[in-house]
Amino acid sequence: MIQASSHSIKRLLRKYFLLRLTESLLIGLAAGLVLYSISVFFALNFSLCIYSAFGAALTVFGYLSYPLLKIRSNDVVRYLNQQYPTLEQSADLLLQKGELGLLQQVLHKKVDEQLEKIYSTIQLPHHLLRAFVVFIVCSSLSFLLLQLKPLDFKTASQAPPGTVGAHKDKIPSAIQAFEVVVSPPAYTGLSKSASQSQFSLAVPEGSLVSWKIWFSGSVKKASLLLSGKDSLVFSKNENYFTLKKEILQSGFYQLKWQDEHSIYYSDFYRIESTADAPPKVEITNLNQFTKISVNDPHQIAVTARISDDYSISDASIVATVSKGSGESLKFREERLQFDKPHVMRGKILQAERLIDLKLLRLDPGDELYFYVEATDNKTPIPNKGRTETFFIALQDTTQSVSIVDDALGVDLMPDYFRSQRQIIIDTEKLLKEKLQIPISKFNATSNELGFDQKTLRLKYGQFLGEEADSGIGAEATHEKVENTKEENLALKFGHQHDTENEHHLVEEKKDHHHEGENAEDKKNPLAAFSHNHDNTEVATFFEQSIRAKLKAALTVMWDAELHLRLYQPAQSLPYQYQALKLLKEISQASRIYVHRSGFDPPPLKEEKRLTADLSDVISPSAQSTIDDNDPYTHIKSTIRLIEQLLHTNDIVTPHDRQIINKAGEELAQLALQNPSLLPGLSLLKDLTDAQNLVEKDKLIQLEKIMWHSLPVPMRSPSQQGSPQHKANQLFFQQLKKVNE
Amino acid sequence: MNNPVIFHPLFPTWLNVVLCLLFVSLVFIEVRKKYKFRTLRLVAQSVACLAVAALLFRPYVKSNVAAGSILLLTQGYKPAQADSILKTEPSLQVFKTEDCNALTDTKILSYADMEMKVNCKQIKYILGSGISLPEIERLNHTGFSFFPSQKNGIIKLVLPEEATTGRPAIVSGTIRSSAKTKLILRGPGGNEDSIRYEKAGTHTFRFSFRPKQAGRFVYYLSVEEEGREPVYEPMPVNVKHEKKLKILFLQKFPSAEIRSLKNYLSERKHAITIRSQTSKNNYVFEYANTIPDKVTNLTDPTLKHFDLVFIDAASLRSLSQAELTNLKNAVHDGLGVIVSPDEKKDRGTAWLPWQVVADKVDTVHLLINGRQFVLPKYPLQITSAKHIDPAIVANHKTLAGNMQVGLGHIGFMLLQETYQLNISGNSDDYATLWVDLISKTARAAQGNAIRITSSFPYYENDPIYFDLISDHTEVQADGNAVAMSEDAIIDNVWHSKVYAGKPGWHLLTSALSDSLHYFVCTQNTWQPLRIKEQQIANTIATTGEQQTTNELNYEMKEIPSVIFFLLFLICSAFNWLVPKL
Repeated sequence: MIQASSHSIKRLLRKYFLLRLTESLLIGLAAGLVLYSISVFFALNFSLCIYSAFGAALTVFGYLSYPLLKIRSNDVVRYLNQQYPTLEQSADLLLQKGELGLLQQVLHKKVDEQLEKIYSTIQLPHHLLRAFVVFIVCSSLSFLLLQLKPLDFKTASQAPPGTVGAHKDKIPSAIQAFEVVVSPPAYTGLSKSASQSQFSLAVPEGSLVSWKIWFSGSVKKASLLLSGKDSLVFSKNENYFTLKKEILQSGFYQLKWQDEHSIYYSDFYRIESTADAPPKVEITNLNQFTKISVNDPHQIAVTARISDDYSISDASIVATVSKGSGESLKFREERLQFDKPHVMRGKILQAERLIDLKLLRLDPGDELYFYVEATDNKTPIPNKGRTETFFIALQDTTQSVSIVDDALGVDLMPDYFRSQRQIIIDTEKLLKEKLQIPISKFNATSNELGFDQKTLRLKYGQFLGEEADSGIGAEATHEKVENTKEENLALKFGHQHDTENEHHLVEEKKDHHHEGENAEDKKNPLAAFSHNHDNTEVATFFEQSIRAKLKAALTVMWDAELHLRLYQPAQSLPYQYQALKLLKEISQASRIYVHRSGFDPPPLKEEKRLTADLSDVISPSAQSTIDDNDPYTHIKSTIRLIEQLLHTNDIVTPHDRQIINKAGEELAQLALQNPSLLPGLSLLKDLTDAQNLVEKDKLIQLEKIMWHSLPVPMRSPSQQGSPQHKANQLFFQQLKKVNE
Repeated sequence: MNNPVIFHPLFPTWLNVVLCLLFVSLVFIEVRKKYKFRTLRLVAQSVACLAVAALLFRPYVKSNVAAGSILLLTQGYKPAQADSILKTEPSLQVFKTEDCNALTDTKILSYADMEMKVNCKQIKYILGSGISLPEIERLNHTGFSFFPSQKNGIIKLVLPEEATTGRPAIVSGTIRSSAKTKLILRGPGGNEDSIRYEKAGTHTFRFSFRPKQAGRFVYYLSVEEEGREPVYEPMPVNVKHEKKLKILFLQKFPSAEIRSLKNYLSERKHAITIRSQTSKNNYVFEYANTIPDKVTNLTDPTLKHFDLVFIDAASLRSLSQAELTNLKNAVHDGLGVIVSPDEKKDRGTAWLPWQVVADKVDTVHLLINGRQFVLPKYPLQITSAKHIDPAIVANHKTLAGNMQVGLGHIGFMLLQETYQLNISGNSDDYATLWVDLISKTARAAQGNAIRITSSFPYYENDPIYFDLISDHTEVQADGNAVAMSEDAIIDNVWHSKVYAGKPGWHLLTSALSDSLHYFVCTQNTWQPLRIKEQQIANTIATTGEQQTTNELNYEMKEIPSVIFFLLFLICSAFNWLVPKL
């Protein structure tokens, strides 16, 4: 019975403990939650938040629970005596051990019965409800604080777009989260991309890329190493780092950050900058060379297919009309807009235009050259694309063809030479018809032929620099023609290039000058020192000998015209034949001059000749040294290291890491020219970071990349060797003695 | 093998001492005990100790067996051959080696047991791949007939002795295949060369590769036979940098040919000195990659400084008698000289070891690196009674080559205007023209004094035999000193062997800093090659006299351990019971 009573007291004690411990736990948890939310609100480190919250909860719980350690059964008995009078202040009897007196036994029995009666109604002191309320309030408060925390941190903590678990690239553990936002140039029409899930970039050229990175530790400084050369520093904002950079070319980059302890490097990430391609233009319905006869419709439909990677801003046809022939060829350029579409916009267009050759004033024999040009919407300088030049020729069926030289299979002579022959033919025809036609018509035809002869003379006059009618052949006389025939024209007018080196040997010759300049020299002393090309007399379309012949031909033409104008075509004919002969000679003489090359000895010093003075003659020497620097030293060392790692169980030492880092720098430079080497940089980093054995597959792959980065060395002679025994040398020495 | 009992101890022999001490102490304790049956107890104690010793030392006893010769079956033997032999000689005892897949009831004869269990001189026939080289040497028995079997795979391999950066290294060999086979040479940069055989059979192969850098590399020969898993055989290649030369050019007047050659050699960092004569006593000197030092006279010290001298016939003629003598002596001592010859024979050119005759042909069609070139040549031809080592040959005419004179070489080059190859961008072809001639003619360097005589491959614990030509005998293998034995006939020639360590690269170094790296392969590689070499060694070993089959035949039998264990139990039980009696 005594035992039963004492058991009830102990049960009460345990119940009390349970109540108070629950109460302490609730308040401790409440405190922890509050501290966690406050820490998060102030954007402290994640682990710091957890630790502080746990510490707070434990402290509060410990503080509240500690007094319970001192509570014993006597305290429960005392409480019962105080709170429940039915126990008659005698509940302590229930705990007494040993023999009780009679009275005490009676009382014990009574108290025990009373305790049994009131046991279920005993209320132990506690603040469980209050503690629960505190817990609820604190939970709500911390929830509110978590909701009110800064927006940026919210992105980081609630799995932002680039959280570590989501991306494909390997990211160092110190990067907690990141955002990479690409803003393509406005003209591309591409929208700003959402945060990328990886660091590697494939962006249009000119895009603005912004990085936003959260680090898990206390990072002091972060920077971005661009293509192993430039270093851009991130700006620090509260708990994250940001950087913006316009991407203009492809390459790679690496993140570098520094905390209190050391510097960390990320993997290498690729930047692929896609350049805006120029518009592609093609004419779909025409051949490049089109001939149109007179009877064909003189309208050409041009259909062009224009495409661009972003948008086309303009397109037009650039047409050039070529009129005339020979030296009278004229060009006229026009820009024609397409009939449809009216507004040039879009990625792919089908543009059409009907070209009316009559509107372009194309006559038979004329040609039209055109191409389609399109521009895109790139700013500030748009890209241009164009087609090949297309040719449309309007055939001239009336054109006569004559061969000047029978030996030539093709007509290489320009039109104006045929004209002289035509005048001769017409003159001879006129003479044949002289008896059949009236005299007036004969005279008129002779006059017209004289006009033709004049026109021809004027054309050739242009080649001599004669632009006015008055200047043509005015000074020339028949005597001069005769003189021209007799004299050596090459000596008289030509440049004598073969004598160029004569000035080294003898006294300098006077500057060559043209015939007829002597008189002017007297008037103008500067004329001797100038080369006056404006003068019609010295204007040189041709070399001097040809020029003289042409001048003579003009003079003869003048005479031919004279007799035609005087209605004496028979007298004119010899001059015409003479003119034709001269023109033919001119055409034959137009050949390319090639300067003779040879050794030009230095000028001899006459004063030193035959003096036998060799004092200045010395044995010169020159020295050169090929630079011994090998730009691939560390790459080669790393390859040797990889070979060693492949066939042993060695691990990478700190010294090896230094070599690998330098090899990475060398490889980075090569990777700029050869992007296929980029994976090697990542593998090198893996090798540097490796604490234990590195996977053989990775090593083989890295070795392969590094091997390919090395140039193929040129084969070179080398000293060969084999072990030489002294006996060999002695043998040959003895053999030599015997031979001697 | 005359001992009736031999031991095969499980533990090192120093255990004898411990056992003896134990035995003495136990006997002493037994003597001190005051029980009856002292003598019996002492005997029992002694027998118990001996039984323990026998358990540890495993004694074998010689037992006579039926007289007869042995047929030893080794890996890859042909059962038909074995049946034929047994049919003709049914009394033969049949044994097989451990790696042999013969019938299960055939007795296994391990190499370790070969000397112990049987009289090896009774081995009359060996079938299959033969017994290993060290065992042949150890058994010292040549009186057997060997019937080799054929194994598919690479059965012959010639590795480049020393590969040099930038220069083609050649790997050749023979492969036996039973189906379509593709052979690929893989290097650090991937596939280097390959060949495909459409038919089964024995084929030769020759691969070429150009190492990009110096170092020790393991290339792989992969054998991809149709219907079988590819096999990758490791091929060690030790690539070294080219050794730079000191070259002197002597010319009567500057020429484009020498200018081009000088540019090419100096770019490869060879030390170049050029002396071009401008007047009787005046010269123009050019130096590349060397300290300027005017070579006005060809003295002995001057010529010793150079490895190679390029000289035209006119310059040779203009040398003084003393210079000419010095040049001849220098060639005898090892100097290389390359001469641009002409037809005249006089004091300056008479000593050259060849005759120059006129040749009508003054151009030549050359096939260089698979491409055809037409180059002008001197209208001359070089003939000699001595052997000319050719460097360039076209239409059966030697256009460039050299001859050994004393320790040195005198070479010639009949091609002209080779610089046009260089100018036209074919610098590799230009290098091909000159590299061999220059390398072979230049003064030879003192080569590596250590030379391994064992053939590749080497496996772990294989003996690797090597020679040393030196008057210093200190050689270390991976840092451990190796004892050398001098050749019985030739002074300063030493022989020794090391046992191959773990798979990978190992190093032999001599006192004069000569070093030789060798590669130890894993056991499962190059099996066909190893078996082929083993078979060759077995075939060579059969040149001894045939063993007579009537000689006493015996077998070493192990005494069952259970006997010793029971003895130990009985004796120990007796000693335990005595006090209780």
